[in-house]
Amino acid sequence: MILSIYHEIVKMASQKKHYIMLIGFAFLMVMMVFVYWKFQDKFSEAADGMVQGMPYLMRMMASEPLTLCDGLMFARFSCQILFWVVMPIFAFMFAGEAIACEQQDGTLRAYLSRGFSRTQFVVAKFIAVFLVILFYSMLFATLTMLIGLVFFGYSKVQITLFMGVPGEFPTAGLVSANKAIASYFLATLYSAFALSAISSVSFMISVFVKRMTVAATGGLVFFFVSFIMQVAFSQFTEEIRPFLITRVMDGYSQMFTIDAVNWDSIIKSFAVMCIYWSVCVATPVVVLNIKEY
Amino acid sequence: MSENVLTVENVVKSFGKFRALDGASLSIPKGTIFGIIGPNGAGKSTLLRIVTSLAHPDSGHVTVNGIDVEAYPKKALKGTGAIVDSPAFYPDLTARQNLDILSRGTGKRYKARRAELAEYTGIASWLNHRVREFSLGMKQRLAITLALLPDSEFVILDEPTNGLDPNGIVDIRTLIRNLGADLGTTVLVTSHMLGEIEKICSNIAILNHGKIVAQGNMEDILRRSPVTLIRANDPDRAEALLKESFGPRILSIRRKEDAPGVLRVETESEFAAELNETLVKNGFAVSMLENEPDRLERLFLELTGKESGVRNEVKS
Repeated sequence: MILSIYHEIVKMASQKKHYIMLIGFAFLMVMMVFVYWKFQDKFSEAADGMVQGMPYLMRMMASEPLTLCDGLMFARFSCQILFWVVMPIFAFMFAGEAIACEQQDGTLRAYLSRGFSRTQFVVAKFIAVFLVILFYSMLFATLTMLIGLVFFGYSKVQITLFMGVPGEFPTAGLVSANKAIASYFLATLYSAFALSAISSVSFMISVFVKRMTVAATGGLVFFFVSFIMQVAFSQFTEEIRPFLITRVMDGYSQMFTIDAVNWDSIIKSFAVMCIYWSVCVATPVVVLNIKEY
Repeated sequence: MSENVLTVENVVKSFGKFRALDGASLSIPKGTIFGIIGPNGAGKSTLLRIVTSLAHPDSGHVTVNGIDVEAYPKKALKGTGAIVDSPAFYPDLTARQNLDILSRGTGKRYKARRAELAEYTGIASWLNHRVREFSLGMKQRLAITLALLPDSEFVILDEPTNGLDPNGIVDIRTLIRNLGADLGTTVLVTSHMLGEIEKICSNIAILNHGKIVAQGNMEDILRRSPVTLIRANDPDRAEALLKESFGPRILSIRRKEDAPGVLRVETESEFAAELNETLVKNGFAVSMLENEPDRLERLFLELTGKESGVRNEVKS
């Protein structure tokens, strides 16, 4: 299995879409630095307002609200967009091409004609997709934090915003910088798991089609439909809301406030992820073992 | 260990109402270079896909080295390398990476064999190049190298000379022919290029409408009904003499369509020397006597019913 996973990573590492990812990330960073720099005053005003609403001791910790709008806060803001918008697209691309491209290029037939285990092939591919997502999540999170520190400095006290679900009112708290950094990377780790669950939809579709674009688009459509169901039609979708794929991303924001993490909700999110992982990996395993090539 | 590397028994495979394989049976003896020929749609690719476990038969059995492919695909195909359809590789990976991934070979012994085979097939200096840079001929060489790795004793090549230029065809033909002699590999080749099969293979099977209509040693099959072309003075008298002298040993005798002065004599076995002797003793001047060329093509057309429109099944 380890050899299979290694081979899958070698295959993925050779693809040119890594350049697209890096260019996309660089473009996002330029935009975010510009936006954050341009609106830093407004952010500090907002932060000040939030601090004033906090208990006395917490207010004393944050005597200069402008310093709260530092590089770490920039990183947290940027990662919200990175993990909600940019990374899902990349995750869909990687997962979508996993089996579809091999079918299209004929390499799947070359591989399977050796009688190698098809189940192992699918599982190794999925684990490799997860590892690539994890790698990029950590890489981008680290780079974002470094960029933030270089451009916007560092404050010992951090204001943590719990953005929550879009549409819900954000809550705030104050934590030490070390704790903020720890929660930042914990949130990144969580998001890698969530992204792998989200992208598993594309992974499943990729066994039925021969084009990566079809599988990736299928996953994206599912993602956005899920998002709309969660946000726009929440009153009608209460019963299925816990199972919506976008719901698993909610835990990402929660992880920013370690002290206030709703672990019950996180566990439920992981349970939902497990459902998606199981269905979206088991289906290709069954199909690949039955299908003729 | 079975004497036959591959045994196919009464394999039936249908796609909807179309029966791609209709009770096909064949066996490939160890150490042979075995060719399967057949017209388009005869079932060659379907047969290879079933042999390599890419498709499942509706009924019948396929065993490789005595192991059932359907029940134990991994075990049965352990020593088998197959290139089904055109050779497919990861274009952005190097040849070395492609070989490692697609053969799943590891270890020192594997690396030594990889180097040895790359040298043998002539791609040693290209191992670190991306496959994207390879010509079709180089890809075929790489495909043959891959089929031989990690320890293949049985290699299946589907149309290995397809799309190659004449030099490439000669190179690949030589390479395949030498595989058996140099490495002791059993090779199964499919092609619709009859000349290629005749030059490469020691054994053949002819597949038509999903059935094996003839199989066996190439020379035995071609000798089954040899045709001798004879140019003699007074062909009408010569024809009558031969019919009278040899009776049922001559299956048919007629004028060659594109050369009316030439007699086309189909015999049950080869006895061209006796034909010549009889004619000369009876005062005929024989200016030409030769076996009809393109024997495989003729046999193929006869067996697949292309010439007469009637399929002529022959038991081997």
